[in-house]
Amino acid sequence: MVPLALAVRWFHVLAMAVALGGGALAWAVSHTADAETTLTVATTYELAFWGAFGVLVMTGVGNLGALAPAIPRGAWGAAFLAKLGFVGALALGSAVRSAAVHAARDAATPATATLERGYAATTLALTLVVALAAVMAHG
Amino acid sequence: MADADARLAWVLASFHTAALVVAGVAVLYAVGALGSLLQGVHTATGAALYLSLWGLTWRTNARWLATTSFGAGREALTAAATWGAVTGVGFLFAILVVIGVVVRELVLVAVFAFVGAPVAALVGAVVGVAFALLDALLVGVGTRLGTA
Repeated sequence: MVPLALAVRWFHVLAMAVALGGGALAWAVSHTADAETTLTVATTYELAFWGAFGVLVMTGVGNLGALAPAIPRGAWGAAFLAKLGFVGALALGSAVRSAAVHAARDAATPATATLERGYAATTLALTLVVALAAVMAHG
Repeated sequence: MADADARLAWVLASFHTAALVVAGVAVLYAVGALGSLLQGVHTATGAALYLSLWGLTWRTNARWLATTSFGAGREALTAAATWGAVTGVGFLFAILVVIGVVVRELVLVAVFAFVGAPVAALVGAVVGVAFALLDALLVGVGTRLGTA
């Protein structure tokens, strides 16, 4: 069904915009703002990030379904497996980042410099995932 | 439940669901079974199953966090096994609803439920304990980084 497949792709792109754009925003805020503002933005971003991440995985599988049963292998498959690896590493790293934000909210001296590095790494990792997605889509 | 625990439950549930699906997709693709599986699942059905697993995991993680803590050792793992088993059986129920709607054979669904429930509970308990151990590690690292 074309409209459903289109909706899946739209949600996939929208979720990446939330995750990547929000990551860049959290990075910029943690670089320039005070600790209280940084933690407020970080707490909101963590909730939005995990919602977006769940939607990205769900719609990513939906996008694969559009290729089924002949899901390519070869160079496309290598890019796909690399993307899955990045996504898995991003999930692990983001769980640590979310736990750091969770702990920093209760800390007397929150480690905002660590959060800044975490958001920089998240933004970079998501940019690489987008690059791999572009390779898979356009060769 | 405190707001902080509610936020953590959301993080852990989203992480668990996404990690399980990403790992499953990678394994299925590696063995060449992904295409045939996805061909047999309608997009809306797949989305409904993902959302049901996500929602179930959110609920059971919230219950797990309400009854124990990461540092509770054996008690935390026992609770993780219990709530993992609940998640497993709950997700089996979601799958059975889909099968029931598609094939409309109540006897078949009942047989799957009878045979599948203990297996789903066992798998759910094992996965729940594995995630509890991983969560304790990740949250421990995150806590050190966030308060350094």
